[in-house]
Amino acid sequence: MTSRWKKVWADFWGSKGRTILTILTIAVGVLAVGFNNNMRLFMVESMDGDFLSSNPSEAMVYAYPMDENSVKIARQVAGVDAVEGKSIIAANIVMEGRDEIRIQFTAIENPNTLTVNTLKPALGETGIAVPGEKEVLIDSSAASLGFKVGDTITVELDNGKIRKLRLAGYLHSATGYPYNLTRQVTAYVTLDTIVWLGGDRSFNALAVSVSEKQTDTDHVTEVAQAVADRIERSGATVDFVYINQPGHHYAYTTAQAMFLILGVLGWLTVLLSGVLIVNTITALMSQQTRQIGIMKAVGGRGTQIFGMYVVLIFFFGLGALAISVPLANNAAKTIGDGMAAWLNFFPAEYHGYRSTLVQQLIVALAVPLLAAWIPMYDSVRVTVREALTDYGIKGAVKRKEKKVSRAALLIPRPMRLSLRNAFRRKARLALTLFTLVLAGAIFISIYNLWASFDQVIHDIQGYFLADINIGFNRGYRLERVSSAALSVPGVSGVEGWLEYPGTIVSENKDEAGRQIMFVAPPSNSTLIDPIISAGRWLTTGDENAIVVGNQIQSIFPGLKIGGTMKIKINGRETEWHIVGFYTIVGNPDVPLAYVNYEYISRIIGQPGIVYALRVITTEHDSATQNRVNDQLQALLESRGIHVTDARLGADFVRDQTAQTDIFVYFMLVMAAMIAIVGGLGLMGTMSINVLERTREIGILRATGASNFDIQSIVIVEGLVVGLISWMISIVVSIPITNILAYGVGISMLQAPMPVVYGTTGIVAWLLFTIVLATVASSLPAQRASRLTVKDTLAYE
Amino acid sequence: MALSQKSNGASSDGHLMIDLRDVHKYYKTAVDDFHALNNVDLQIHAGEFVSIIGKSGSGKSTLLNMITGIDRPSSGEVFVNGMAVHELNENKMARWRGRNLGIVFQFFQLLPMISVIENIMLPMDFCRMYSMREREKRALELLEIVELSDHAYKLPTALSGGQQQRVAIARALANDPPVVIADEPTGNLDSKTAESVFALFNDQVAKGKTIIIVTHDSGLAKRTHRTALIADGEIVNEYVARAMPTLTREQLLQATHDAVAKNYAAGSMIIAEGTDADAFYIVTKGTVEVVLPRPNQSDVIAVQLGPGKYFGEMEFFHEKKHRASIRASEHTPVEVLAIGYDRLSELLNQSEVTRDALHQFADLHEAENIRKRGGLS
Repeated sequence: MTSRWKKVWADFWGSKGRTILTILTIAVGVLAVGFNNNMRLFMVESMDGDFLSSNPSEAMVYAYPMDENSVKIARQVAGVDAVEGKSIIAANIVMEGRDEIRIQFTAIENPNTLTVNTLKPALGETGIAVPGEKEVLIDSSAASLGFKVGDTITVELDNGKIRKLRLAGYLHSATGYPYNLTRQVTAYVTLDTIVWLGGDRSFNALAVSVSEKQTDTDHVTEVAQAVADRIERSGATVDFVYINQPGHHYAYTTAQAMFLILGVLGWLTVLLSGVLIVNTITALMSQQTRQIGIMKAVGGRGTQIFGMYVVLIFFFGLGALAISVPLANNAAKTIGDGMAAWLNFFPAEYHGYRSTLVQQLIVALAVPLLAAWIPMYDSVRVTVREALTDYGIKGAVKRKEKKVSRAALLIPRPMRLSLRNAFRRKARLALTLFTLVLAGAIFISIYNLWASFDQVIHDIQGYFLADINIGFNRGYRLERVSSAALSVPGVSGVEGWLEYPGTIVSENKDEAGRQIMFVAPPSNSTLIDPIISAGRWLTTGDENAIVVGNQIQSIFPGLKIGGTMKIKINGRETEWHIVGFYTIVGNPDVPLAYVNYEYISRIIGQPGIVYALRVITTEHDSATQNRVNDQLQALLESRGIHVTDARLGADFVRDQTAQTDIFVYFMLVMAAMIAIVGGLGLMGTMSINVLERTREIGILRATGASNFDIQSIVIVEGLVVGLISWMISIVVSIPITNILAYGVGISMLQAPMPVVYGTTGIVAWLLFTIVLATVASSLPAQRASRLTVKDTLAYE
Repeated sequence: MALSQKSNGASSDGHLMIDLRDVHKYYKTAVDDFHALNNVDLQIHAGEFVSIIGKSGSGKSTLLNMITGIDRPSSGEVFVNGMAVHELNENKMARWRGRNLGIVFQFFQLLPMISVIENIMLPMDFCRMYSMREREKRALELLEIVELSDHAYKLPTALSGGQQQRVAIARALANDPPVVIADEPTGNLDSKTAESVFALFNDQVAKGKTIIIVTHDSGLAKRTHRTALIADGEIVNEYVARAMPTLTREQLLQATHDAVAKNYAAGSMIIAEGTDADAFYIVTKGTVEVVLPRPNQSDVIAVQLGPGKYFGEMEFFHEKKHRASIRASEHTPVEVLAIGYDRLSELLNQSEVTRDALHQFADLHEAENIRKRGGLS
């Protein structure tokens, strides 16, 4: 190795502090990109791999009654690949000391011979036990309930009967919903057992798999609706058609939204890291100016010297790769495995991803080189004379006419020194501020996004204001159920609601209609607070008035206020006047349309009959809700009214929050990474500033400055920079919050989320900034205070 | 008027190594342009050991930067070993400099992160001089010369200032350049160490190198072949300085400005005895002969005056008529500097010491003249 390459190596290896700082700066960006990309690829590969290997159905058609003949009819519909009839019923698991847990049973003869929505052995198992009489198999996502194979599971049927089943084993249903997200256990029993559980040998659902365009929602909907039409014509009553992200794992869209956010944050981290690299390399080159001058003086050409620094930066990049590649792989695998367990899919074998490595190579090698190109070029272009004379304290400083204002003199002199130092290298300050501001703005925006999620939940809650929502197995007279409910202590009011399926009639007679669900609160309901985007809400006396949501609007964009819709109910075509549009984020299984209870109950011939009861309690805390719910259910059961579903308002909020919090945690991790980049940036800047001012520090020392004085000057400078960045980041967070709320809303909830500007993020970032600035400045400050007068004044 | 400083005959057997022609250098400052070098002409021949002296800010380093190509003249030309340095671009300059010039800096300027021997090999690497194996061998030889071979693999910071400067000299010699330029090479060293560094330079001169050093140390400067005194960006004529060493630098510069160069062919008459005297002359090139008439009408050469010697001072202090004839030697053409008596009077009014010294010499020469004339008759 020639001596110039030895110099490169010495620059790399000799200044370990600087090298580590530079490598870390690059490594953060490489890690962010690597982790995000690996996570995305690993999760998509795992999710889709697991999901598609189960030969998933793209649609479920819920209708009753159906038999093998219905399955045959469905199979004949154009575009259908496979159909399997299902007999499904739901009940509640009764566990001592716990709330009832919903369990959904699907009848199967042999879990190993399914052709659609196939089942797999649970993780670590080699096979699935075939359930016998009164035995049940449950999805392994419900293993957290603590049941062991052989245990008896007690369930209460919707008719109030108690049944005991033996747990035959766990299995993995890649196409089912996991317990931890839905609070519903997916279970499988034999046909005989389902009959014993109150079910029916006839089917009540068809799992439909289409032959092509499995991921095309429109195509799948068209085929599924055609199946529904044929089934209806064959004599069955279609409840609804359920299609959710056909061809993909149910968490696909959610995961994509998450990857989008993480990806954006990841590349922002790269941008920040790039800015930091510019700062670091500029400082490095500034430190090297004299050496460049010497090398030129002894015969080094610009291209030779430039090449040396290219190689040095290449080394930094390699260092960053060495840290970040394994870290990104391990983090993606570990967190990906955790996500797999959480979202109920089998993780694929983790093998790393070439495309990630390519991106990491680009970020580690090309980005620093690009970032460093101009500083390197400028430094290498410096003439020997400039290099050897224009370093450190400059000789020829422009005269400044400005005087220090009297007001400024009120600031303590060391503080003035800090303030002046902060603004001395304006380009460097600008780059540092850019990093910190962007980091801060993203940090604050993430907190705002968190608040937006809360707002969304709050908004959704507006549609579910009741403290307790109770569903019945059939329609009951309102007077009967309400008088029962009102007799329970703690109940202050009740409303009887109706939910009823309908089919929007397409203008094209050959086209299948679109399933919707009427939700009918009483016209004077106080338990709904909708977000009306246009028109008005329902009023007392409205007859065929309908308020449709953004989901229906997106399917039928031609709908207008004052317009009409034809909806088939029980095979009869009815006409509805659109009086308003409501907005709800999220994607319900079936689009909901609100109508007055009084009117629709007449239309369906069940006036005064309710299928659901919305209960208001005197106190709205979780304990009261639980207590009243227990008493209410007991009373209703005692009066022969069978409750199929009871959900507390508090549970609803908890479940919703659990789903959004995971995003926020991920984003906070990214925000922390960005904050680390910001901290590194500030530390780098402060280190460089201290280095450049070594001689000045010597002068301060010589004039009597103590360790504390020197450290204070440096730390206050860091704090000044941090606080300036904090103030600017508040402003910059506004557009970023808007973009995030829109992007995340559209990709995750199919509607823009409300924008919330909270103070939590601002305060948190302020505290973080103060800590960050203090910590980032402390090391350089300590270094500065260790310098002796002799060292500093001899510094060249 | 500008005066050039040309090397004396003593070492002019080498070819012209450094040739600065009418060099000006301006620097822009916040106030106005600063004239760092003004109309500088400087010629240095191969094998010469030249010192450049001057006060801080006089333009010494700027002059050195012109020669090394570290800086470019605002106008004028700089030739080093036949190369028009002022025309080279930065890249070509670096390569050329690496092969043709060795530079020794006041603060050594060794790269701190690589070893002593690596520092010496660096110019060879950059200029691709010598094979890889030869580079180390040569670096060790150079370290042997500067008596630091025991420290070859140490970092520069482990060495004393004098040792570091010797390493810097070894580095300057790495590519065996014909010219070595040193900026205050002994400025940071104690006298004993400075002496050893100076001895190194002397050795190199003995080996035929051209050495130019900038120094504050006039004692050291006197030990070089010749000295270029620089003041306010201009080179003081060294012969003026030799003739009137007690003048201040500013006065010397004034004298340089006042002096008018006159050239005479070999054997031609410069002054005829008995004519009116109006100027003081300093010989800058060639040899002049002071000729006295014999009674038999033939002439006798009373004394020969070489560069730095002067005549016309007797007439200034005594009778304003030439007391002897002066002619150019028959062997070489002659260049003299003439300073009018009015200008000389002004100068001497500013420097009593010089007046007294010159007066003493005038009296001495007068006495000699009388003695020699008496001897002739």
